[in-house]
Formats: sequence, C-alpha cells, structure tokens
Amino acid sequence: MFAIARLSIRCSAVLLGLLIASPVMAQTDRLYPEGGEVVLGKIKSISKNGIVMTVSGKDQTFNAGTIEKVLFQGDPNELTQGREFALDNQFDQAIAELKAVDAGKLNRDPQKADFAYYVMYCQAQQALSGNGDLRAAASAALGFIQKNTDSWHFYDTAKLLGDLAVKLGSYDQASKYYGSLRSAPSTETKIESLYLNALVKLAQDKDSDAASDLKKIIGLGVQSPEGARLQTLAKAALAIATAKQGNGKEALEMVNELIAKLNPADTETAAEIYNAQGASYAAMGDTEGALLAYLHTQLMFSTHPGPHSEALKQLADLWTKVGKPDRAAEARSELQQRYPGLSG
Amino acid sequence: MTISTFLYSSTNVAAEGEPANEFLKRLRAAGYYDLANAYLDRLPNIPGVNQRILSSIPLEKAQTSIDAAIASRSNSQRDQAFEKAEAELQAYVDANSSHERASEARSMLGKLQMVRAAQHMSGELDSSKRTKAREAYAKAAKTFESIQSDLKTKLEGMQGAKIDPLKDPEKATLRDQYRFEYLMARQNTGEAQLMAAKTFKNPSKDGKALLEKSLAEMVELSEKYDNYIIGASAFHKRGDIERLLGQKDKAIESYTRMLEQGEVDSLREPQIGATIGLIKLALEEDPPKYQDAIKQGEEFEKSLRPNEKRLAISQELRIELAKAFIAKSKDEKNNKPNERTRATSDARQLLLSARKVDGPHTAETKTLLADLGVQSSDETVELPTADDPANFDEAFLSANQLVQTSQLLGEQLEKLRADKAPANQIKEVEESLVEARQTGVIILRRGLSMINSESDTMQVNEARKFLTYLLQQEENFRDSFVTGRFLAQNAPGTDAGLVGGVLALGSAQKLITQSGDREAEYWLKELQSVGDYLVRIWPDDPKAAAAQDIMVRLALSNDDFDASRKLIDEMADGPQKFMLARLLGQSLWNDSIRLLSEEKTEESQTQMKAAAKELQKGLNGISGGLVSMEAFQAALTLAKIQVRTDAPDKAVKTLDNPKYGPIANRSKMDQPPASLISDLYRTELQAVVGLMTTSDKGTDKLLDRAAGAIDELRSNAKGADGEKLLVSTFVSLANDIRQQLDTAPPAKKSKLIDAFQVFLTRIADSTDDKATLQWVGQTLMELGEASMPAGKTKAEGQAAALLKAAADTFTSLKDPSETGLANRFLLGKTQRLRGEYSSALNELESVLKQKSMMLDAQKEAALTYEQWAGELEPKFAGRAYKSALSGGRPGPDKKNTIWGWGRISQLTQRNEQFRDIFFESRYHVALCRYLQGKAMNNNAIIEQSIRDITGLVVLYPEMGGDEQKRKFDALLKQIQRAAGQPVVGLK
Repeated sequence: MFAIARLSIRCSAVLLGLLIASPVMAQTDRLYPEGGEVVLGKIKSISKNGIVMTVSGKDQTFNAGTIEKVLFQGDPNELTQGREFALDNQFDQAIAELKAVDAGKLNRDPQKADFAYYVMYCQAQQALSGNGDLRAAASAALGFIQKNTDSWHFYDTAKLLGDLAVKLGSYDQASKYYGSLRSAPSTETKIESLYLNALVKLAQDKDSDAASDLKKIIGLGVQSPEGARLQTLAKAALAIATAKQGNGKEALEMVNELIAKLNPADTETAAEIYNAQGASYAAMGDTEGALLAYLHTQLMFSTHPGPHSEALKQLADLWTKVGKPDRAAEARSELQQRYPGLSG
Repeated sequence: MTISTFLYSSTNVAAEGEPANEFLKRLRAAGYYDLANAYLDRLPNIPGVNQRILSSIPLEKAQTSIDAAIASRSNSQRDQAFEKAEAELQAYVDANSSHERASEARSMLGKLQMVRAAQHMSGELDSSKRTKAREAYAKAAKTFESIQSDLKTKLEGMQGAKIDPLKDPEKATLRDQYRFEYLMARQNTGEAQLMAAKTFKNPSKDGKALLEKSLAEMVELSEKYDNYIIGASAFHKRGDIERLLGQKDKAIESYTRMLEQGEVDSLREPQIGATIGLIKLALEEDPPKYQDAIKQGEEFEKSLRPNEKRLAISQELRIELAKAFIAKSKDEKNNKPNERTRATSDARQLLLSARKVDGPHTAETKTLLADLGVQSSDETVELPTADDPANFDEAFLSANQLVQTSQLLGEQLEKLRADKAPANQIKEVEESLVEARQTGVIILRRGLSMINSESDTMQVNEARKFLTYLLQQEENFRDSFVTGRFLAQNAPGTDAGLVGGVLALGSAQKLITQSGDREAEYWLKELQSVGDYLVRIWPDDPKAAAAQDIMVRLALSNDDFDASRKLIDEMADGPQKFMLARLLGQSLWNDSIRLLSEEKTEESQTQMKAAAKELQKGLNGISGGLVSMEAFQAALTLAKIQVRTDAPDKAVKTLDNPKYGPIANRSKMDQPPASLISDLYRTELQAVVGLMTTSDKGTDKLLDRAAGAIDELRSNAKGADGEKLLVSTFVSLANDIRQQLDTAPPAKKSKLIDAFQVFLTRIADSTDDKATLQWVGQTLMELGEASMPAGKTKAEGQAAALLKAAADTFTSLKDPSETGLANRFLLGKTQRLRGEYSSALNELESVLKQKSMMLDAQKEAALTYEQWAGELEPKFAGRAYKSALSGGRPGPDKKNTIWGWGRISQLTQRNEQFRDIFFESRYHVALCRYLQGKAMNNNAIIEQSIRDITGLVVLYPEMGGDEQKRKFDALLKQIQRAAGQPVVGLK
C-alpha cells in the first residue's frame, strides 16, 4: 500500500551508465537531472537541498528532488555499476558490485558519501521487500544521515527512514521522517511528504484525517507529470479511506474513474488502483469483485513488493472465503517465497 | 490443434483503461476459468472497456470454454466444455452473421468441430467411432468451405486488387484481413479432409479420394501463396499427404521445401512437422535408416524453444526420434554395446520428456517406455492413502513418525537381507517401507500447502528436509533435488538448509549416473551450482564438505587438477580434506601414466612429483586407528612413485609405515582385491631390489624379504588363471628390472647385475614353481643380453655367466610338449647369445617343428645361422650364410623347418602388420648375401646383394622409416666399397 513514490523505471540508465563509465571527458563530474540531459561540469558545493555545479564557468543549481544521479570523476567501475543496478532496482547485483569497491581508494568526500548512500539504500530496499533485517537497515540509514547531513541524498534517506518505520510499525517516527520532507526544495517532494503522511494515518486507521489530507493533495494545482502521478495515487488512497469508512460504493466510483484513464505502463500506480478497487468491493461485500480486483495486481502488476504483497495477503483470505483452499495456499506460498519478511 | 490461441491473435490490448483482453488471457492462463466467465459477465459495468470486446462477450466465453476443455483432466468434463463451447459459438454465428468477427467465429466453430472429431478418434477405436469422427470432420470441412465462399464473395465485391493502401488504408487493411482468413479457411478445409481420410483404417486405400482432394488444396496453397505464412506452411501437410499416398520422393521434396522456408517463428511448427515426416520416411526404409532419422531430428529437438517444448507436435517429434534411437539400440551388428546402451538411454530420455505433457501421444509413449522397462507413474501401484492432516503441525508430527518408521524399516530390511531371510519376509518389509515413505511424502506435501504466517519457520524447514529425504529414498530424484535446493536457498545458514542442499547434491549425482549424455550435462551444471552455493554459505561446516567432495570429484572428472587442488586447499583440515588430497594424488598418478604412454616423459615426471606430494599430504593427515582401503591404495601408489623416482628407501618406508603402510598393516586389510595384493608385493619386490642396489647393507635380510614377497605373489596367484597371472606379473617385473638396467649408469649397472644374480639364484634355489623359475631364467637372460657391449654377438665375462645361469634354469624346466614352447624358445635364444649355435638351433628347430609360424623363433633361428657363419672359417661360412638366407633342417616333407631370412621376408611382405619384420629380414638378406659372397669371394653374389637393396628402395622409398633407412644406407655403402663401386649409398 505504501508506494515508493519515485519513478523506478530506469532500465536504460544501466546501459547508458556502463557506456559512459570510461573517462572520456577528463576533469569533470556528470550530473543527471530527472528526465533531462546529462550536465558536465565541476561540482562546486553539495548540500541537502541540492548541488551547485560550475558548468562552462557559470554556476548552476540543481534541487535535490530533481537529480537522478551524479557520476564523480574517478569513480571506480564497481561503484558506477553498483549505482546503476541500484537505480534499476536490481539490489542483489548492486550489492555484489558495491562490495567489490575498495573504499580506501575513494579520495573525495562526496564520492565516499555517495558510495555509503548506495550501500545503505540497497540494504534498506532489500529489507523493505521482506528480504532483510528492517531494524539493521533503519539503523544504517540513521547512521548515514547523521554522518552526512549535507548529502544531497538527505531527503531520499529521510523517506527511506519513514518507509522503514512504517514497516516496523513505528508510525510516530514515520510521520516525523516523512514530515521532514516538507523542508525539501522540490514541490513534488513536499507533496510526497503530505501523501506519505496520509498513508501513515491510513495505516493507523485514522481514516478521516487521512482522507482530509489526501483531498488537499487532490485539490492542488500541479504542473509536473510527477505531481499528477502523486495526485492519482492520492485518489486511490482516498478510495481506500472512503471504503474503510464503510462507503464502498462511493469508493468504487472514485476508483472506476481512475481505471477509465488507467495507464497500464505505470505498473505501480495501476497496482495501487486495483488494490483500492479490491478494498472498495470488499467494503460492499462483493467478494467476487474483490477477488477480480486483487487478481489484476497479482496477474498483471506484480513487480512492486508493496502493493503485490498486499494483494497476495487479501487474496489468501478471499480465496478461503469462497471455498478455494488450494488457491489460498498458492497465494500464501507465493507470499512466503517472494516476501519472506512481509508475510506475517 | 491450436484453437486456444486463435482468438487472441486477432484482438489487441487496449492502450488505456481497463486492460480487459490482457486480464482475460491471464485469468485463463492461470486456470481461473470460473472467474474469467464471471469477469465477462461483469464487463458491461466496468468503465474503460474496449467496445470490440464488449460486442463479442459470447465469443470470449466460448474461448474460455475451449481453454477449460483443453485443460480439463477428465474426459467427461472436457466433453461437456467442448459441447458448451460449440453451442455458444453456433448461437453467436447464427445471431451475428454480419458482425465484424463473424468469420472469425465461424472459423473457431470449424476448428472446434475438428477438435470434437479428434476426440472421437481417441482411445480404443471401433467402426462407429471412426464414422462419427469422419462425419465431424466433414462438418468441419463444410464450415470452412462456407467461410471460403463467403470471403470469396466479399473479396470479389471489394475488387481488392484495385484498392490503394495509401488512399484507402482502412479498406486495404480489411482486404488483407479477408485474404488472410480466406487462406486460413482453405488450409483448414484441406486439413479437415486429410483428417477425415485418416479416420479410415487404411487411409491410402479407403480415403484416397479425400487425400487427393486435400492434396490439391495444399499444392495450390504452397505453390501459389508461398510468400504468405499459410502458403509456406502448407508444404508440411502436403508432404504428409504425399507420404500417405506412397509418393516418397515428392514427400521428401515437400518436407525439404518446408525446412528451407527459413527461420520464421510462425513456421516453426510446420517445420517440426516436416522433420517428423522425414524421420518417419527414414524409419520406413528396410533396414530402417535410423542414423539419417537421428541426424534429421536430434538437432531440431535440442533446439526446441521454451515455448515449443510442451507443444503436442514437439512430443510427436520426441517419440519419432526415440523410435530412431530404439532402432539404433537394436542394431547389434553396426553398433558397439556402449553405443547401443547410450541410444536406449537417449530414447528413454526423450520419451520421459514426452510423458510429462498430456496429449494424444500419451498411450504410445507409455507403450514405448514399457518396452524399455520403464513403468508409467500412472500405472505404478496405487499410492497409499493418508488421512488429510488438519493443519501443518499435525502433518509434521505424522511425517516425523513416518520418517523414523521408514528408518527403522530400512535397518530391519538390511538385517533381513544380510541374514538371507525368506523372500516373502523381505518383500513384506519392502512393501511396508515403500508405503511408509509414500505416505510420508503425501502428508508432507499436504501439510506444506497449509503453512501460514503463524507456522514455525524452523518446523517448516524440518518438514521440507523430511520431504527431500523421503523423495530421495523413493528414488524420485528430480523432486528431491528441487525440494532440497529450495530448502538450501531459503534457509541459508540453518542446519536444515544445509542438509537439504546435501541431499539435493546426492539426488543430482544419481540423476547424472542415470541420465543419457543429453541430460547428464544439465544435471552436472545444476550440481555445480548447488555445490558452489553450499560451499559459499556454509564454508566451515563439515557437512558442506560433501559438496566440496563432489566439486573436487567433478573437477577431477574434467582433469582440472589445479581447480581441485584449490578446492581442497580451501577446506578445513579434516578426514575429508585428506581423503580428497589422496584422491587428487591418485588422479595425478593416472595422468602421469597416460603422459608416459604418450612418450611425454618430462610432463609425466612433473605429474608424478605432484602426485607424490598430494599423496604424502593425504597420508600424513590420517588420524585415528582405522585406515580405509583407499588410504592403503594411496600409500601403495606413493611407494610405486618412489620406486620409479629412484627412492626405493622411501618406498620401503612408505610400505612399512605403521599408520598407513600397506605391508605393515596387511593383516588389517579387509578383503583386499587380488589385484591390489599382486600390485603390493610386486612393488615391495621392486623397492627391495632397488634398495639392494643402492646400499650394501643388510643384503641378506633384503633377499629374505624379496623371497617373502615372491612367496606372497605366488600364493596370491591360485586358481585356474593363477599361473597365467603369476607369469604375467613376473614377466612384467622382468621388463621393469630391464628398464632400470637400461637407464642405470655403468657403475651402478654392474652392481645391479651382481645383486640380481644373487637375488635370482636365491629365488631359483628356493622354489620349484615353474612360473617363478621361468621368470628367473628370463630375467637372467635379459640381464645377460643387456650387459653385452654393443656390436658383440657372443657373450663374455659377466654376461656369459648370467646367460649360463639362464640356460641352466631353462634347461631344468624343459618340456617337450607344446606347453614348453616359450621355454625352449628362450633357451634357444640364450644359447645363441652364449655362442652355442648348434644347441640353439636344436632348441629352435624343436619349437618350429611344433609351430612353424612362430615368427620370433624363425627370426631367432635365421640369426643363429647368420651369427654362427660369422665365426666359421671362410670355406664353411659361405654355406652357413646360405642357410641363414634360405633356411635349413629339412623336415619329413623335405621342406626346411627353419625358413631363413629370404622366406621370412617373402611371407611378411604382403602383410602391413609385419612391416617391421619385413624390412628387418630384407636387411639381413642383403647382409647375408654380401657376407656369403665375401666369404666365397664371389663378386656376382656381392653384386646381387647390392641389387637386394637398390631393388627394395624402388618399391619402398621410405625403407621402413629413418632408422632402417640409415642401416640400409650404411650397408649399401659398405658393399659398394667392397665391390669397388662408387660409394653412393641410397643417394
């Protein structure tokens, strides 16, 4: 249910990263803005709000929420590859590459911090998908943020800490970490802060408060695709809040509006929407409808651990309800195998 | 029949909104047909659904029914589902004759009628079923013909050829679709006719008219429309029909044209079909051309893509290919036993792969497998029933008890077998054991499907461990491997995970030994992957050593000594590590012997040293009192290496080592094989003899020990073949000693010979055993010959003394029967070397009278004449050389018993096998003639000897190799010089 709000389809980035890993341009760092062209220059300063880079003699500022990645001059090959794998959600490979980095040979502070971030990030993501120790990951994330208060990964790490706290059931902590995102310079990160906090409230069954926050997001005038996507996710979450308050029919109408305009390529949002549809049908007592809704996530949009594990949990119960214990066992078995840490 | 994909190919996924089409597909693929129908009922109320799919809900329902029918395991359910689908389609076609998807629906209906017809043709056939099937095919053909005529009218009305795609793209698209459907309908009509013909018992006779109709359709499609997929794929069916009509050449051409259509995905299935046709044609030959069939089919089968492996046609390919392998396995005349075994294994593998897929081929597969001695799992004894466990915990408890029971039963069975208990008693326990295991498997499988978030993870893993174990005991190695690997990977660091992994390795090993070449390769890789994993996850656990054990053995089986050494070095010290070091040492030793046989002396020495190092390491690591047979063997090998590397003192120490020495621990060896004992005492003998030559101390003791070793060798060589074995051991020893002598420096050589003489005499004195005495004599003779200076023909000094001792030994063993042939031959040779030519010729004559074709004796006798002549005065020498050339000692038939060099060369000339003897004898012919001419002062004879050589070189310019050529050249020059001719040699 808790979305990893950042867009995660970055497959081509891996290849690109590998191709440019050789030092074609000497004496330069490479900064990749989200969705933009690579910028070559010399990093002048780094803070939690972003990076100032001297490009052709002039300083340019890049806000933290708008940077996809930075490749530092002199990055060892393993770091470059590990970073690319991490950004492509291939955490096993990323960890394998990063393990091969000789940290003693990293001679710039930002480079060292970047390396430490990706090591911590992979560990946290593994834990979030049920394949690692959540507490250890949280402790590593906290360690990173304490040592690197000026890292441009500061807000990403705060979000990670929030995600980990949610999984650990520490909702107050989660609210604190997500709340800190409001100080971020990028508008989308501020919206994300609101959205994530609404999800925390939803998890605490503070449905009315959550609905109120989500409506605020939906009412915002946003310009960017990332902002619009957050609004869609907020609508799906609002449907869940509405369903939880006993208004299944109203919730279903909201979801169906989203489905009519569904973009099947955005698999994460689609999965959240169908999970919301499932919750709506369930609230209406329509078990068959709920099954069909969650099966959309299970059979078509199963790449994201959060919504997929949620769908599997619901399916295991629903199949039992309709007298199909074999199918219930299949769902449970998949849940245990793919997300051992999330199956409880 | 591919109707399940027919509908999907013509509809697209909506770009936005509810992805209804794709979701339906997924529901059907997951087998949720009930929900697919429920979803279709709900579709009108779901927003964002494509209008096209909304308008064809009945069609989609029919497709769901068809899919459900195909997936159904019960015949009656399948029939019901097909019937429902046919009714749904018929209703749709009747009510929507002008709908845009009407022709698609009609086509589905036709295909469904084909499937229904095929159903009638399954199982036991009688004339009523055949007739029903034929009628259903006729119905299908009619449906397809109606599609054809409908589309033909539409296409004519459109005046398709005049449509410009640029100006009117929509119309052009519709035209293309109609064309496609028209061709499809024609293909289906032809196929329905072909299938209708096949409903007859004898299609080529009773269904000829139908076949010809179908052929006409396929010929037109393949010739006129071969630039369309449908046209190109028609070559397959065309070939099939031609084959049925007995038009073999035409069929081959059609199949070949099919295969030549190139690598296009849509043509793969007809290409598989064409390959099947070619295999069938090859196997129909008398005798069956199975090699052609295998060549044709094997490569294609191996290259089947993942999506093709479960197709019905792929199973047909496997079955036909299996038949080709079976034909090979039965051909004893042209195949070696191992090739036939491998062919059987390959056939079995193919059939087992086919059996995994349900379909019309199932019955035939089972029959073929049964012929190969494999029972179908469906036909094995009924599985024991087990009460359903209420939950996982209950299942775990029951399974735990069953595992213990099966272990107890296993022990009981072993005891009964050891006690040779009555067969019925053993059988009873065996049955109980099987039942306990099978029940355990059932309970565990059910229990594991009931685990939930509250289940105890450790207990779940224990249950998986039990399941892996029971499956392995049941010899269900595939399932055992999969379960064990899963457990290892999902429970890293736990004991259960490790045991699961080790069990998986054991199962993989079994699978490798049971598989043919084709599958063994796959299991090797799987084994390696699990092995790597275990070693990585449990680096220090002794149980993981089993994985290392297998990895090392695997590396050794590939002769990868460095990799195995590295793996061993990485292991923690312990019995397993040292055992593997010894194994590596043994493998290195074997490799050094191989290198030696390839005359790679230096490389062999290097491997031998490496072997000694590993063996020593492995032996030093032995702790505790009990030493295995394998360790004794390793010590023996080490001693052998030490003998060969000139360290007999070390060899003796190794053999006498109190911990692992095989001589010191001889009494502790449990039933050692006879070959090991021969090897052991032979090595001891060599080591002791070696020691005698390097040290003057304790010669008497060493001699006693050597005599003891010989006694052991002799007592070990009992039984019918005992004598033969003993002789061969001694002969081989004699050769080894001779080798030592050949490479010994002069000072040592003399000492070596002295020691041997004492040693051999001592042995001869202490035994009446003929084999031992024969060996003593032969060794003395070999030593005598080896100690003669090069160029000398008559022995003197030490050599003469040795040869005399040899002659005495041989004389004491003389036996006039044929059993004594070898002894008399050796005596003859010894006498020649001693210069006792007359006596030598007597012995050799006696041999040749009994066995005139014994070439070694003939050579020996000719040489005796030749060397004797060399010592005679010239007036007698001429005649003696003539005897060397032309033989002597005529028998009762007036023919010479001893042939002489001339006849030897004549008889060996035409046989490639005796080429060396031929050149050797021709050399002696020329030499004897020259010496005869010289002795008789006869130039004509001398000149004849020149022609002996120059005549030979014309016929054989290579002259039997470089060495022979040099000898001939030197002789020729000598003769030319003596004859006063220009000394030019062979030029």
